[in-house]
Amino acid sequence: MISKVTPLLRVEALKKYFPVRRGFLQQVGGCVRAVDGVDLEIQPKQTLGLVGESGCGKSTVARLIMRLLTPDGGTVRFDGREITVLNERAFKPLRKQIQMIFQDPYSSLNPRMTVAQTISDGVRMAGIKGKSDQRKRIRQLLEMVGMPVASAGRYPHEFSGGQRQRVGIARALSVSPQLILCDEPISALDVSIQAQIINLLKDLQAELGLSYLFISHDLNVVSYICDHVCVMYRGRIVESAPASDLFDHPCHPYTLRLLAAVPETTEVGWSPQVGAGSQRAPLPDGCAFGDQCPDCHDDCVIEPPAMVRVGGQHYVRCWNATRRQCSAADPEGRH
Amino acid sequence: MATTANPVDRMGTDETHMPPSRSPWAETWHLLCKNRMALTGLVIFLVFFGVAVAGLTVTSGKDPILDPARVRLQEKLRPPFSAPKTDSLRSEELPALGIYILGTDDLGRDVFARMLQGAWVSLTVGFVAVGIAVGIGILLGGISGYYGRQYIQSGHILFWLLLVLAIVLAFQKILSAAAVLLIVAIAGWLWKKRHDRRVSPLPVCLKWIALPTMQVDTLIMRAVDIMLCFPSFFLILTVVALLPPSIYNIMVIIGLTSWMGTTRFVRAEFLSLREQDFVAAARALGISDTRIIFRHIMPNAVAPVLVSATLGIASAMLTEAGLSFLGFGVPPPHATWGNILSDGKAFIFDAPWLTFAPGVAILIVVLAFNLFGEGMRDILNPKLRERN
Repeated sequence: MISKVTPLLRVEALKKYFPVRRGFLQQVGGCVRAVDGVDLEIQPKQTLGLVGESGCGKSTVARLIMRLLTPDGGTVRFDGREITVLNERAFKPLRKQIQMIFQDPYSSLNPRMTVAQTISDGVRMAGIKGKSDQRKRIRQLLEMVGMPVASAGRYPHEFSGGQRQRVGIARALSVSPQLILCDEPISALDVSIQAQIINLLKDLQAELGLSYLFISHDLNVVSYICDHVCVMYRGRIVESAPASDLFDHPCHPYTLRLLAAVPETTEVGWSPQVGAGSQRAPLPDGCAFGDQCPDCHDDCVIEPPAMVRVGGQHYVRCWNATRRQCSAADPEGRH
Repeated sequence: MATTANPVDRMGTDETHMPPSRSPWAETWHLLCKNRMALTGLVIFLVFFGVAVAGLTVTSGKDPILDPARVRLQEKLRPPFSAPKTDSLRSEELPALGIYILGTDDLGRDVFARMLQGAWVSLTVGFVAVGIAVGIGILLGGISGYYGRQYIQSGHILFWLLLVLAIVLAFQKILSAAAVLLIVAIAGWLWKKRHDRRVSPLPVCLKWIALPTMQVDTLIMRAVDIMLCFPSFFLILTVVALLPPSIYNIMVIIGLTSWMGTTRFVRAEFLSLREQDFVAAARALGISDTRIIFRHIMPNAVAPVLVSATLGIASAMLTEAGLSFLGFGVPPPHATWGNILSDGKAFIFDAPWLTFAPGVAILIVVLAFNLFGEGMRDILNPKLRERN
C-alpha cells in the first residue's frame, strides 16, 4: 500500500559508522555501525515512533536528520527535497522546518541564559526583528507550552525538569517548524510530568499541525502517541507497522521481547525467552538478532534477512516472518 | 495516563509560588558571602587594590607627597615608627607623615613610601601578565576545543608562511615584495574560501592545497606541552637578559610564559560544553558559530578561567618579586617589593624590617589571592552549588 500523501520526511538507507580508534597512533580499527541502512517515512501531521534498546542508534538517526552529524550514506528528503547534499548555507532555511527536543532537560538549556534569552535565539532566527515583537512572540510561545509569562526572566536552574522540558519545546517551536524530532523527551521526567508533556505534545500537534519523530523506549507512551512505529535493533529497522498493528500483532522476535519486557502488556501468543543473554557469538554475516533469537535457523546464519511485508503496511526483517502467526487481523494482506 | 488533555494538564505544577529570581552571578555572590576564607581573600585584595592606587597617586608626579626616592644619608637604617631627626634635615626632606612608619633603608629612603610604590608595580604586573595569559589562553583553548578536530591543510601552512615572509620583508624595508606576497596570500585565501562554498572538487593541479597535515588540537596542545617543558622561571630569566630591563617587558614576558594552564582549562571546558545538548539545540536553530562560542559556550567556561586567573595573579606577583630579587626585574631606582627585599638582605641582622616589610606584604597578598581563588573554585563548582 503506497500512501497517497507525499511524506514530509523520507529517509532511505541512512548510514552512520563511527570509527573506533585505538592504540598509540590512533589508527582506525573497525567501526561501530550506529545506523546501518535505516528507512523511515513520516507523513504530514503524523507521529512516527522509533523504539529500541539503548545504543541501538535511535538518537543518532535524529541527529543525522537534524544534520548535527554527517551521514556516511543514504538520503534524507524533506518535503521531497534531498537535504544531505546541501551545504550548511543552503540548509540554513530548512533548519527552521525541522527542530529537536532533547532527552535531558538539564543539559538542553544553557544555564547562563534566561528562558527569554533561550527562546529569543530562535525567535530571532525566525526573522522577527524589533524588541517588542520578539517579546510578544516569546510570551505567546510560553503560553503555548503552558509556562507562566513571569518565567521569562528566570534561569533554568529555578525550574523543575518538566518545566525545563516545556522551555525546550518552546525553543523548538520558536522557528515554527513542521517537524519536531523528539529524542526521548520524557524519559528523564517523573511519570506524572510525563503525561503532561505527552498531552502537551499532542495538543500542539492538533493546534499547529506538527509532525513528530518520537524516539522512546517506553512502549506504553509510544502506543498512546504514535500513528506508526518502527522498531530498531543494532542500527537497523527490524519491524515497521501502524501502531495498532504492531502492538496487537508483533512479528519480529525482538519486538516480542520488547513487548514482553513491558509490565502489563497484552498476552502475546508466542513468547521468546525474556532477557535471554547472548548464548552465541554475534553472527558475522547473518541476522543481527540471530545470536539472541530463540528461532534462529540455518538461513539466519548465512544471510541477513530483508524487509518482508506481512500485511497492510506491516514490514518485518525476519526470515521466519511469513511462517509465524503474526498478522491475523489483516488476512487479505497475507502472502 | 490521561487520554484527554485539559488546560490544567498543560500548566506546570508549582509556578504560582516560585522563589524570587536570582541570576547566576547573584547566586555566586551569595555563596561567596558564606565562604569566610574567600571573603577574607577578597577583602584583603580590595584593600591592597586601594593601597596600590593610593600609593601610585602619593608617590608619583613631580613633587610627590611621599617621595620613595628621597635619599637622606644621615637617616639610614632607622627602625620602624622612629621619628626623624629634625635638626639635621631640611624641611622638604621630612617624611610627610612625621615618622618613618616602616623605617628607612641603607640610603635613608622611606621604606613605607617605597612599599607603596612597589604595591602598584605588583598589582599591574599581576593583572597585565594574567590578562595577557588569559587572553592567549582563551583564544588558543577555544580554538583547540571547538575547532580542534579539523585538520590544518597544507594550504593554510602556505598562507601563514607567505604572511610571515611578507612581515619579514616589510621589516627589511622591501615593501613592494612584501605587498605582493600579502596580496597573493590573501587572494589565495579568499579564492579557497569561495571554492569551499560551492561543493565542487578542486582542480587536480591544486589538490595538494587541501592535503590534511595535522589536527588543530594536536598543534596547539603540543605547543602547550613544549612551553611547559621549559622551567618557566629560567625561560623568563633568559628572555629578560636579552631584553632591555623595563617594567612593561617584565609584564609581557610573564604573560607570554604563563598562558598554558589557561589554554588547557579552556580547551577542556569547550570540549565538554560542545557536546552538551544546549549547544546542539543552538546549532539546530542555525545559530552562527561565533554566536555559539561567545554567547553559549564562553559564559559557561569562564568560571574555571576566573579561578586560574586569580591564582595566576598571585604567581605572577611572586615571579616579579623573584626576578626583582635577582636583579633582573624592574630597574632601580623604581622600587618593587622584590628589590626592596633584595636590597635589605645585606642588612638582615641590623635592619630586619627591610626584609620583613616586603616579605610579609608579598605573603599576605599572595595568600589572599590564593584563598580567594580556592574559594572561587569551590563556589563555582556546580556540585557544591546544588547542596546550598
